[in-house]
Amino acid sequence: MAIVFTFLNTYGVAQDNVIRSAHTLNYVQSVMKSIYFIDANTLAQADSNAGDCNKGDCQDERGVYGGDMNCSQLENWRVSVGDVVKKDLVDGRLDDKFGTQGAEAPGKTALRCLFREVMKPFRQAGYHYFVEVLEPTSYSPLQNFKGAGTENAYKPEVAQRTYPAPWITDTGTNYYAIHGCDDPRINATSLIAVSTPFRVQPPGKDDAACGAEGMLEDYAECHESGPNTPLDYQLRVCVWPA
Amino acid sequence: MKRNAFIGPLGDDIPSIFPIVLGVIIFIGTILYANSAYNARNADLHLRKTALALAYTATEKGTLSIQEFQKLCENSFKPYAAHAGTKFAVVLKRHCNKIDLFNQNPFYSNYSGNAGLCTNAVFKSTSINSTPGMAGVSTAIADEVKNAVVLNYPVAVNCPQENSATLGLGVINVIVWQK
Repeated sequence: MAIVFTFLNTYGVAQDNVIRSAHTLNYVQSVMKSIYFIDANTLAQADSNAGDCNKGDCQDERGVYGGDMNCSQLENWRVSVGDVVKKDLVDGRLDDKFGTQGAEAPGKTALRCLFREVMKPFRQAGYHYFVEVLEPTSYSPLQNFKGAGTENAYKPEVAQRTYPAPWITDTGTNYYAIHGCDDPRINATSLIAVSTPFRVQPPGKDDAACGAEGMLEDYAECHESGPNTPLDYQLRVCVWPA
Repeated sequence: MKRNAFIGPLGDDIPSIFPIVLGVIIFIGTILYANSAYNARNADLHLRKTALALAYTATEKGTLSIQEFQKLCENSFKPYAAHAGTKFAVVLKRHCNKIDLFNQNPFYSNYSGNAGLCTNAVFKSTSINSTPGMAGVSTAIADEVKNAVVLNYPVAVNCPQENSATLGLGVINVIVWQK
């Protein structure tokens, strides 16, 4: 009888975990596809103060972004979210601007507003999510965030300096001093992270952005001749139970 | 020789038969319980695998027009569910500006004429797929749809109308339950 009950206790657990992971992966894949299809202007009404986060049944973005996510600024962007993000990222920074001169390219806002909507089923099911853009050259795994000398422990201040930026949910030090799916404060035993390639073509040599000093990050510099080398960003989404 | 009170080889040891019978009953009960638990777990896994397979098909492209959805319904969803021996409903919903999941009826498609609903179930209560919210329909759903697996996925849909060039927020609900 002990064998029978032991069998019953373990039977199907592995299959159950596989099916849950498959669902999460399929969901995140659907989210990633939506980045390329959904037009940014349709997200103009998706805001943290939109009033559809009922009775604490979903993750409250106001705690992360503040009172207003500024989704309304997407109203005139009649292109896909992916196009807006690429325009924002082409200078090497996800900061809602193209270059340093302040030309508007609200890729960061578009991603925030999109994920606020498409992650609702997971939020209402009691999950947290995190979205980040990994830069093509500077991603450092967690083990690199260690102190110097004999200290071998995780160092938040090292992580803050080293970890690739910018963050989709970055608000300085108010709520998440360290960001990322590698954050050790996340319950990593049940975290699922999915990375997808996000290739951006840098400006051509004749582009006005190439002439301005400090316009582009080092790795996003224009090429003088021949075809440009694409910037191989990664979009990483992680989901974990709250 | 006279054998007083001797009632046979078994009858002479009646007290020891009780624990033996009890043991046999417990053993058989354990086997029956194990069998039913095993079957229930298999049925649950089968439902969830079927729901996942339908969801893979529904979310393959990332965007769906109502024509594509109806084509998928006839050519993929219904044959697969029939082969799997389950009831199902795949519901395409157009939200456009904001996704509203709170207290929404998962069987209701907001496409005119329920065009965004694909199912092999015949509902006794017509309110199940004609009522937008859950108010007044939750009992009917509970009566007719038992132990359902429900999966939701985001999908891009034409907004604000079916013939619009803009793509906005939509949701696909995949619901599978036993016949």
